[in-house]
Amino acid sequence: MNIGDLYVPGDLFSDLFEPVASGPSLPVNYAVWQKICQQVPDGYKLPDLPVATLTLPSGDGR
Amino acid sequence: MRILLATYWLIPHVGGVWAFMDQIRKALERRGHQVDLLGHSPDYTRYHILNDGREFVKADVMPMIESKLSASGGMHYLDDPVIRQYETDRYCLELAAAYFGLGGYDIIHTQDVFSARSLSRVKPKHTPLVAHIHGSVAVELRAHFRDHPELGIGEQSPAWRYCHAIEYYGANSADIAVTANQWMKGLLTRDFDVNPSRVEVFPYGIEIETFRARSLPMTPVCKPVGKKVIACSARLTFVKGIDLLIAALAQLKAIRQDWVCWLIGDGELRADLERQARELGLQDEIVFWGFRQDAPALLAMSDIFVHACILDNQPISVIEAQLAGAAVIVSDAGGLPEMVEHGRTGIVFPSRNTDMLRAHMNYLLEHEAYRLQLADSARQWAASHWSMEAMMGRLDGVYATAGRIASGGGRGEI
Repeated sequence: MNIGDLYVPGDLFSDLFEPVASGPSLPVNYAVWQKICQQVPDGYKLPDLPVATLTLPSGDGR
Repeated sequence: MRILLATYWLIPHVGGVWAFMDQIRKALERRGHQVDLLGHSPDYTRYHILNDGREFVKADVMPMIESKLSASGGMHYLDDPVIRQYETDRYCLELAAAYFGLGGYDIIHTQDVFSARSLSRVKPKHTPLVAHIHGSVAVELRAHFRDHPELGIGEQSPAWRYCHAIEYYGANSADIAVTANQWMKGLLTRDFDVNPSRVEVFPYGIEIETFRARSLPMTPVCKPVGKKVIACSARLTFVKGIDLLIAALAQLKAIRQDWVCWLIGDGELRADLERQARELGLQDEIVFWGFRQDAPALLAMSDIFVHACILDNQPISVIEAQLAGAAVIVSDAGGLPEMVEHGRTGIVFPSRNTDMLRAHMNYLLEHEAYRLQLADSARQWAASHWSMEAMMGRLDGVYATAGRIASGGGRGEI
């Protein structure tokens, strides 16, 4: 971790995650996360659900 | 224009993706564009913009990503270590790209399905995205799973399905995907359900004059007197089929001894291949040169070039061999048959068929005039077909089309 690390509540930045979940407090580089939050597009979420749920057009995943 | 060339893989690297990125960076800059290069750092701990030194340390965000995904429940796909590795790294790439900022680019040009999918999710909607697909992650991973049954990954496993999902969503996330040959396009559209209307096909190009300058005889290596040189330039990895070439050379030695073989390249199988050569009594016929800066000069001294791979797309080594004036023999694996016209600009043999490979090598050694004719035809054809100018012209057209699609609102989310 770098200079700027803070322990923050685990539910911080939950807007970026789906489904929303909180965890224990975590060490993060707060400045980095702040900049990410400012610059991701509206509605951006992690994880990438279509890939994550392995949703495929043919449904068989050959 | 301001252009971002991006990959999930390491930059710089010895592999072909990095070589391609560096090559088109130079070509784009000569045309007056400003180019940034985004990718994993060589030590795998960061993403970086290589040309200006900006860095994004993965450890700065990974604890939060891991914690959130673990706490959210229901994400059982992440129990699979293969998927977990790729996906968490890919999410880091998304956050890194957002951190660096994508708003200033006129074109984003990714070099793999991971970065294509990731950057499509964090780029401004009206920024065109072009995805070059240099190989099939799914095919390579599934081959790895088959070769390692101890991993327990079969066709019903999440990791198997993940391969399909990332190939599908990666290629379809771009305004235009580009492949170097019809084989790769067919693989994407037939096996991974990628929409054919999104895929453009045009071959790689290389700086031919630069290559020719590097082919000048500035090397300490001399061609052995009275011997023909059979060369192969490739990473010494399983898919390159070097073991098949060595097996065919053992057969050839039983017929004739007027040749040596130069293996140019290095890789994880080197010790195994050297042992195979010794066990077949080929230690005096095969030279393992390792990685060589003077590879073009070695190719220029070669009479026959063999690429016996079991899976490959459009290897630069075959292009270089054609330009260097060697008679080329390639297997029919992957995109290789599209690189030669059998009997006119090269020879194609069935992949893994060492008897046929031995027969073709023997024929070319026996028939000097035919070998020279093949080499000459290939050299003339290669000079126009693999031209960098031709490739950049096609790429200009793709950038323009992608720009029109993106300014019209893009292809829509998938």
